[in-house]
Amino acid sequence: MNDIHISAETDGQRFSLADGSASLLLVPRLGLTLPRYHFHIGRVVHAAQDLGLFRVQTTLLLGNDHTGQAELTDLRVAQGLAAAEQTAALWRLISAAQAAMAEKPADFGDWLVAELPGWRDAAGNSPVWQALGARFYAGDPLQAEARLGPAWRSHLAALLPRQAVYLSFLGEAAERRLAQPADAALAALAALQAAGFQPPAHARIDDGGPVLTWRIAGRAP
Amino acid sequence: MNHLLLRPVAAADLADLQRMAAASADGISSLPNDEAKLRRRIAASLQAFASPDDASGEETYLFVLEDLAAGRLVGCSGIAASAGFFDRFYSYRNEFVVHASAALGVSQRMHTLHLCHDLTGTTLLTSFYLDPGYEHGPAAQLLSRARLLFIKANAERFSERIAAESPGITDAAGQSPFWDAVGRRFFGMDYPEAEAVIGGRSRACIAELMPPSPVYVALLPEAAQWAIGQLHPVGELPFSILQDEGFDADTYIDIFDGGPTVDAPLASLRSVRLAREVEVRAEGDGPRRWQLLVRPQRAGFAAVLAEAGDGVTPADAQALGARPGERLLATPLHIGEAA
Repeated sequence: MNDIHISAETDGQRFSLADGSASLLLVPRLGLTLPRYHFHIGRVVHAAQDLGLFRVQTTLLLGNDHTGQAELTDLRVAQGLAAAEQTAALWRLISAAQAAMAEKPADFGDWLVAELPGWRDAAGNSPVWQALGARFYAGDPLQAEARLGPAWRSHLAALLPRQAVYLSFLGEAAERRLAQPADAALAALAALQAAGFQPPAHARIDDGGPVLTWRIAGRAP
Repeated sequence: MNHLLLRPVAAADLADLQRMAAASADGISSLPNDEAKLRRRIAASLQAFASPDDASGEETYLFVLEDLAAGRLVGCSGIAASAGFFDRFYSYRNEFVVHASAALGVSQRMHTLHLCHDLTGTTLLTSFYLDPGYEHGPAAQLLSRARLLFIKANAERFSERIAAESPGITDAAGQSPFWDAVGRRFFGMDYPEAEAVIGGRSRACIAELMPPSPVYVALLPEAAQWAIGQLHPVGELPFSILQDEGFDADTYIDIFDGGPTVDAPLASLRSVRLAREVEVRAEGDGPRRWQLLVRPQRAGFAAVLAEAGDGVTPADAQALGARPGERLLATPLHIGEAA
């Protein structure tokens, strides 16, 4: 019997499987000390009837949309497991976290957020980073993240445009990979989707990784 | 040099204007290569020069440069009283934003382009064209600068701020790297095609299709970054004259091709600052030097280049047909330019 253990940590509750094959952290409210930033993926239509033009543009708007919401973070799963087993293990933990949140809604934000790392090529390059972040921060993002931890993205945000960035400026590779997870996170994506998380309306500001949300049923949007 | 006369366009000049419009590079001149449009430009100019009404701002003035010795027109230039008269006039304004993070040890100036209407209502210098054979002489000085004296002398009909657009860089095939990186993403067509579509339409309605948020230059491909504020070679001569007049070329660029749009307060411009009124007298006096001489009245406006002293004689300004007692506007030219 692979029980779920719940233990208290500084930032929240850790949910883990007894056999150690998977765990995640449920944080009740995010971004209340250091601001947290995401890109909202929006849509703008530029239309001119007399020119026969109707162009749909995707925009990225830097913001703190998820401030105060609950977060599922630090999703870990034994990479040795088959993809379906990884998904099943994470799904159990996500469901348990959702249940904990539904049980004491007042202790949590209105919705649950989960960030996944963005897509990278075989050489480890992120097309979204190369097209956007790298134009504003010349240093190595992995080194910066190693030095600053997750706070790195809060500092990076200070260097990024505050106003809407039109995705089409970023080139085809970045357009295609925005809000796509790293291969290693595909199992986690499947687990989040199975647990009722909505398709990403936000992306991570460095590698463009998807940010998914789930709302407790019956809670006003 | 005395054989060059700048005067308002006349109905009989249509054929010459057509020749000039055809000779000026496609999409570069603001002179439409289209007979009906040229007829309308001429009619609008005749009206603007002759109308007794107060100015509304929609006036456009067109001047032609006549080589009296050769008996033909060799250039033209124009003024639009109020940029974007029927609508807004769009430009990109260069702005620099410092992005800094102490934790990351970064502080950098980021170049951004802001879509703006700053130049709406300013007076625009337009339609500069000069036959290539005259480019190395002083004709360009007369063609460009005389407009400024016309504006000064008829100031109530114009803005106190003057602007001028210059064509941006395009390649041999007419493609603009700035357009490819910016406009094309919102129009889905290439530059020559867009120019054709834009022709006859308000640029404002086109600009509505552009993103309202600032464009970060760092996000553009290198060729487009490099094209910002760069001139098409055909624009170099008129641009150099505007620079010499004291126009600022660093603030605005064209939203489509990234060419520089210059602007300045009229009173700050060299030809206007140095202009003085002179009376035509029978006897000249003072050291003789090259000057731009202008009969300033709206009806009857004319301008020539002449070597004259402080007192101007009828013989100095023969092409003007100036008579003793008449008052002209005069402004000195650099010796180098008049050579």
